[in-house]
Amino acid sequence: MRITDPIQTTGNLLSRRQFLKRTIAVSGIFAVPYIIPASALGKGGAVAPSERILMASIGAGGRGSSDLSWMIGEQDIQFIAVCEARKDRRDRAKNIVDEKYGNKDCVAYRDFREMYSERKDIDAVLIATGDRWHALLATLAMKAGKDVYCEKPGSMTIAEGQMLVATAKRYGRIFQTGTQRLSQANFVFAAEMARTGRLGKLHTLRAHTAGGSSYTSKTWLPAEPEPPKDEMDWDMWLGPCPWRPYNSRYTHGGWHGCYDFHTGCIGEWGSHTITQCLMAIPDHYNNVLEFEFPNNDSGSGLVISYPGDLKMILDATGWRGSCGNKVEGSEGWISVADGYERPEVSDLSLLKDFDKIVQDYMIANDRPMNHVRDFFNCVRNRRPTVSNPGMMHRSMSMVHAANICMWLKRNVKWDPVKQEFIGDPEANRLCSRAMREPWRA
Amino acid sequence: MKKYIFAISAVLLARMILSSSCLGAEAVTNKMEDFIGVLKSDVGLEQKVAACRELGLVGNKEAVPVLAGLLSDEKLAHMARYGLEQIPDPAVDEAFRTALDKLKGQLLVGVINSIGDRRDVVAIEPLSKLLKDSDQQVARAAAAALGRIGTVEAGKALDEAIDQAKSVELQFLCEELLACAGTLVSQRKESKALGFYEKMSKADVAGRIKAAATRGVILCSGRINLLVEQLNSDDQLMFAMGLRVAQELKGRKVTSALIFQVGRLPAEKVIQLVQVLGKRKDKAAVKELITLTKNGDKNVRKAAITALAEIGDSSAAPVLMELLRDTDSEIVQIASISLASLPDPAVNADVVKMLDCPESVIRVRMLDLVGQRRIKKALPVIMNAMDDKDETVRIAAIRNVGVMAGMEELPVLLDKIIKSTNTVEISTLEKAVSSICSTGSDQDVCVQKLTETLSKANPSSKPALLRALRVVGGPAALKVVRGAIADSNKNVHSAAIRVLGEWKTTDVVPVLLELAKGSSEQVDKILGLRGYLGMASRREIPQKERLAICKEAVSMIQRDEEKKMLLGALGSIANAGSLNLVMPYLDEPGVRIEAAATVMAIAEKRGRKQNISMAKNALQKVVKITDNPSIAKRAEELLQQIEKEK
Repeated sequence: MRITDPIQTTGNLLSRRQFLKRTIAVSGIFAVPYIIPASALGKGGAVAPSERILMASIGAGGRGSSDLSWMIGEQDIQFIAVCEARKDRRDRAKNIVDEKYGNKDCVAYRDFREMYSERKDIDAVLIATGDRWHALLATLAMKAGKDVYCEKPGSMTIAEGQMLVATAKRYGRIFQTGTQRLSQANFVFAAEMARTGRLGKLHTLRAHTAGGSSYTSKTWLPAEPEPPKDEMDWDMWLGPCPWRPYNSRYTHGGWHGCYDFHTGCIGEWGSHTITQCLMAIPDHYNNVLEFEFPNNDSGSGLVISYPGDLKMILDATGWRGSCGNKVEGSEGWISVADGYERPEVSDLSLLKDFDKIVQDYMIANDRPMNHVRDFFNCVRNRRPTVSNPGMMHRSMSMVHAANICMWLKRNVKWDPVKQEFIGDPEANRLCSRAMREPWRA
Repeated sequence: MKKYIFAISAVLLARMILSSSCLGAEAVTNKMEDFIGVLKSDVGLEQKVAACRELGLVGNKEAVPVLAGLLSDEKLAHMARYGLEQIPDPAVDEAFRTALDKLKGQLLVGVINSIGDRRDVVAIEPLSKLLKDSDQQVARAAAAALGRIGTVEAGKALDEAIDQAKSVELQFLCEELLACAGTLVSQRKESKALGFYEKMSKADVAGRIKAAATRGVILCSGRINLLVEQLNSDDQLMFAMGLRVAQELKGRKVTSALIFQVGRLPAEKVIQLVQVLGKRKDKAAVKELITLTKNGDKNVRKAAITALAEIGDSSAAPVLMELLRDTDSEIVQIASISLASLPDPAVNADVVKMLDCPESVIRVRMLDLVGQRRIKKALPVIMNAMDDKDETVRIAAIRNVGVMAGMEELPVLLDKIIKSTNTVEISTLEKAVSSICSTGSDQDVCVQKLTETLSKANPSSKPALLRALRVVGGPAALKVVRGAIADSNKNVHSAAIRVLGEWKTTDVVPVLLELAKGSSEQVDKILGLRGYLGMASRREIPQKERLAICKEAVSMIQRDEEKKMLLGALGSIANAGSLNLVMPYLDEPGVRIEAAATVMAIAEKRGRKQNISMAKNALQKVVKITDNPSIAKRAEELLQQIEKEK
């Protein structure tokens, strides 16, 4: 249901498409983010409406609002619609957009299907719902011809990740996971130092996990009267997950820690930190991995062994900030986390080329140190983002495998090429979950 | 089967669930029987939902009839599918197929979705019939299931339906046929998929579907002319798709065709095509890319240099080296990065040869390349370059000696520290020495050599050596640095105190306390105190010891700067003891904001394990003094939480 009156597209769609066509061609690897031709810039550097990437957001909780506020600062995009199952948040998101543009043009929707049906001009979507919706919404958006910036985690199951990867490949859509530290200097520096051999032979990668338990709850909260659909569309909020009675705690963050809605303490930060570790070892993506059960609840200390001497260890402690990772080689180590002014290092001399290493990475890979900018650049020049579907699925498969190792309370072996647990039908049962009708993979 | 007390409690069920993993075969069977029993009982919905879920993990053929019986139950149908889908027994597929004739609407859609997820080829025929179902949702679900099954037969069923379809339904069917054809391609059945793709590429459907289908046609047929057509297309979707296929399609002929297009396409398209040539890693493109690096559009040049690095062929090395002389600094930087990443060891010889180059700028870049490429053979040459008459060369040489040298080279570097009077040189030498000492196998030898050098060094070099001792660490190094406090030179004395303040290990704690308490100079006292407080924030030190440091420090702290350090440390300790120490600072105007933040950090972390009345007092005070509404709100929430927990 559309909440406010729809507006007509003010820009000339054809003209805008032609512009996109032109900028896609013009924007070479080194041209972005400077792909906006000077002629398109109005006073104050604003990009003409007809030449912006038109965006919609789905999900407007804390993270969604934060992403929206971040993205809306980019000059060459414009949000034209927001979608959210909760009215208060829907209104808040619309206000953020309207306030930015000084009008009331942003249209708020409760149902994304209606939004797609009415607004064919949407080029890309920001997905920042609860975890349960991420993969399905991203897949449906890409099928509908939209590029996608999707908050982490990219999937709730291995099968969801496969679905997302296949869809992005089939339609050639651009997808970026919200693992924003892949576009932050400290984290890039750690990965580059490890990747380029400056730490000697790598032997250990440590990925920070949130505190708590891997054994997410499967029980229900007491039923509360379901609010009117316009205030809170509970069925839409649940999406593909098993039905359960409404309780307002779920919709106010209480979904964290629930098996149906959350990937637990390993997925909460591991979806970031495992990806950060993977950046350092691009040659090891196809290795069979053994996950060793640590005999505790949190998964801290869970060792993921690569062939040879390399291992990744999930660790709930060891950093002063959140979402840290550490790379350790024969010639030193680097540790990074949120809030670090500079990485912690085994020796200060490792930091001597910090600026150069980050800058070289940015130039050689044409990556800005701004995650949403990377996404918009890639939308324009049609090349993979830094946290593309393959990267998302690679890291989330490891999150899921670690969770399955915890749930089964024993070691498991994951083959990323065959996409299965080796000789382990029990673990393979946990690779997918049936979606609640009418939703499907 | 066991008899059940049907009034099974949620707690009991939760226990059953928790113990349903990691079981032996017999125990699994028992669990399955337990969960089947739950489903047959009259317990509540939540317990039945849980039982369905767990049967997905422990169920076998015996669980199938019970779960299948729930497929028509509106409240449990989804969870029945949830359990069934995970059971790897053909009886599940049979049950789903049987349900096709019995269900309607959403329940039927669900079952069809499950058949698709399980890729049941036996269901192709009934699904094909459902493509014509009057319920559009059912027909679409059937098409999606056929797409998921992904066999030639499933594709044919969709293909036939496409002949009859129009508008939205045509598009929908094509999307599913794309999925089906994609599966065929992944199974190396390109010839089977080709016909499907060809049909869709000509259908009256949205551009994105046509583009995806055309990609399939090119990949399955290898029709390079069609690829070239897309690269020349004015349609953005088709051009973007052409670029993707250009990267995916293997073969020298494709590379040749792309190279040919480089000369025909406009510059803006060439940039992207050049990037694709890099990603293809076909050495046949090297010659053309080398040509592109030399002149013309700058962005094309930069793309070509990067593409050469991606291909990694050593024949590009001489050209890249020549580009280091380019007048454009961006070109030089990219060429340098590319040279560093060429994997062929043969490139090293070219780099070493260039170390003799008369131009200092080039020598500096080559020295950095030696370091980046870890060319061990060049170590003697760059050791000599540390004596170069050009300062920039000397500094670059020292920098890269630090990257590659080991204990054998340490004496030479130490000797240079003693002799040098150039501050930049000393600083670079310090980093090189620190690098060697931090990775050196024998730390005692490092300390010994550093100590010997210190005794001979002049005051301008001593601080660098003291800092290197900090990198090594250990009691012997600590003793030497502590001794340097007595140095008559003020700079050396001050450097020693600063080094102690940044010491890595806890053995420095008493030394810092002594400095903080007993130093005659106020500056030394403050530095000692700050170092001492820094230890209280170190997570590797047990909380009890850190709290003791904080307690000891309280009486010595006078300035707000150190009070803030103390509060930062207390926030990381988070127990009743730390909260007690924070309380007085809530009344101090200069630090009360920080004190409030510390109270909040402690309260958030250890809400249930601290002194309740103290926590309550602290939070109430925070509410009173804070100007930040979100902190006040959170403090009130925590207070409410405390009240509830009472």
